[in-house]
Amino acid sequence: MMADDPLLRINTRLAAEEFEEEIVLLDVVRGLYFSLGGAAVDLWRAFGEARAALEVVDALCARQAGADRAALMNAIDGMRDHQLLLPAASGDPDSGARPPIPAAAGIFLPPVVEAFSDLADLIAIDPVHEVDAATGWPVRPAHFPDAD
Amino acid sequence: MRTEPVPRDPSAAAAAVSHDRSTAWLLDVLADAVAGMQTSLCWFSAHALGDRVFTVAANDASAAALLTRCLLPANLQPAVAPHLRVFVCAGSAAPFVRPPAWNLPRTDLRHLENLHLDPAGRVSASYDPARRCWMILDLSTRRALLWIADAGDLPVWETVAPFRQFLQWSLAGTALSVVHGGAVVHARHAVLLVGPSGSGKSTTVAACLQAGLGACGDDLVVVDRSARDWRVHALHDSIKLLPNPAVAIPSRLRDAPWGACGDKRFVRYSDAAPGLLVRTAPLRALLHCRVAKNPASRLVPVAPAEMLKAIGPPTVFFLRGREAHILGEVSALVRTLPGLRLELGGDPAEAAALLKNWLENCPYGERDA
Repeated sequence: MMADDPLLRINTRLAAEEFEEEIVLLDVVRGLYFSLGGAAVDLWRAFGEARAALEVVDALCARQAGADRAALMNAIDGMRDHQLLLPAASGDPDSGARPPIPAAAGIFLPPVVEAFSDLADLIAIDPVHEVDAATGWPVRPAHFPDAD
Repeated sequence: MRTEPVPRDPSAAAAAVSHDRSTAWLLDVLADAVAGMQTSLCWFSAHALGDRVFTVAANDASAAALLTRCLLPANLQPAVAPHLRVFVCAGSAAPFVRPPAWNLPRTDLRHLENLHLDPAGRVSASYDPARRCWMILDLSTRRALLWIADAGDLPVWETVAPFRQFLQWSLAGTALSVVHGGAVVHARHAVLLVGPSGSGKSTTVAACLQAGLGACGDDLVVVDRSARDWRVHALHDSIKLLPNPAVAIPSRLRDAPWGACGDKRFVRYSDAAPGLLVRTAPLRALLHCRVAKNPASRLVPVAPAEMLKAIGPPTVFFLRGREAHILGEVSALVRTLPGLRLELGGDPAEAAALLKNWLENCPYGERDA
């Protein structure tokens, strides 16, 4: 493992629901939700164990004809930016103890990482309490400044 | 010799201990408040939560009347323990003391939201600093406390959809879940209308009522997978209507007494006409409402993941706490029932006619004779 290629792992704080071709993730603290499609589904499953990005990309490229290495690396960067992937904790098992990377789809589909923030404002203002006194959720108080 | 596991991170272990102390403190608050109001209870009522019954006891009859006016009455069977016992404690004057302020040490990110959720799922609590109001649920004793300093501070929206957090938290681990959506019923079938605020849910429910369909709720309903078929249960006896020149308030609701809830009116179905609110019905499909540019409304099949994105986040972010249960239940729902996008044209009456025809010829499931 190179120093600039740290072990990464999925953010277990997120609530996740996996479908055959899409994964939906919720970050209930930040009020964000995400959709992973195409090869991003394979990335999420691969990082169920702590692994280095290059290890995962190499494995997926070896298994899938036409896999786009740059697109996979960009997707990993995006997942890190959105905190879907985090640096692995020091207690995570080393490479010798990890199971193999899960099988990926036979045909490479470009990874899709979509972030949805349409409900984030409500979380930012504390949706349990800081809402319009007369209307309630999801109306914000009139005095509350716009998030942007 | 038994050896205790060595914590990896001593600070995490200390935070866990502190978190547990907060849980214990909240349990004490609940126990003390309930014990302190035993001699002054002046209200008792029983209400439906799906096929279950929960009770409300209070020391302030006017507050209890407000908080229960939009709940569905139920009969409490002597031999059956209620699903939940809610205690409403209002007032700061003797013999009551003013509810304490939130003073929990920050041992969890959720504390930023004034939410405390113990990891074991036993205790869930929220605090409203503006109204000095605690909501604490102890699942192990199935008791819940709403403790507010001044019942006059109860906001209207809290009384139109009361106890929704308690009720959702209490359903963790059951086959029932509260979801954000409305439901319309016709020919013994129901469809669930979902989508964010402004997507046309309530307008469509109102148009369906005008067209002679029934409703199971327009904002929050209970979904239930305990039987062979999914069912939807009404939760609140209220509908919120936005006065809108494009959508006349249904004549069946127009003459009923109404109250203001922000810029909306709320009406109790039971004040308008018997039978408008259908208490329960088999659920046949999920409809993701979306205002579209096409002139005529239409139904378009969608994938389960799209439906999850339509139901899951609004429900989770609305009700807060115990999100894994909510998302798991919603996920089971979208994986089981067909999902359709209801692309709403410009005429709500035409959308109601579309739904009426779809329900009369429902392609999914047997009729619940």
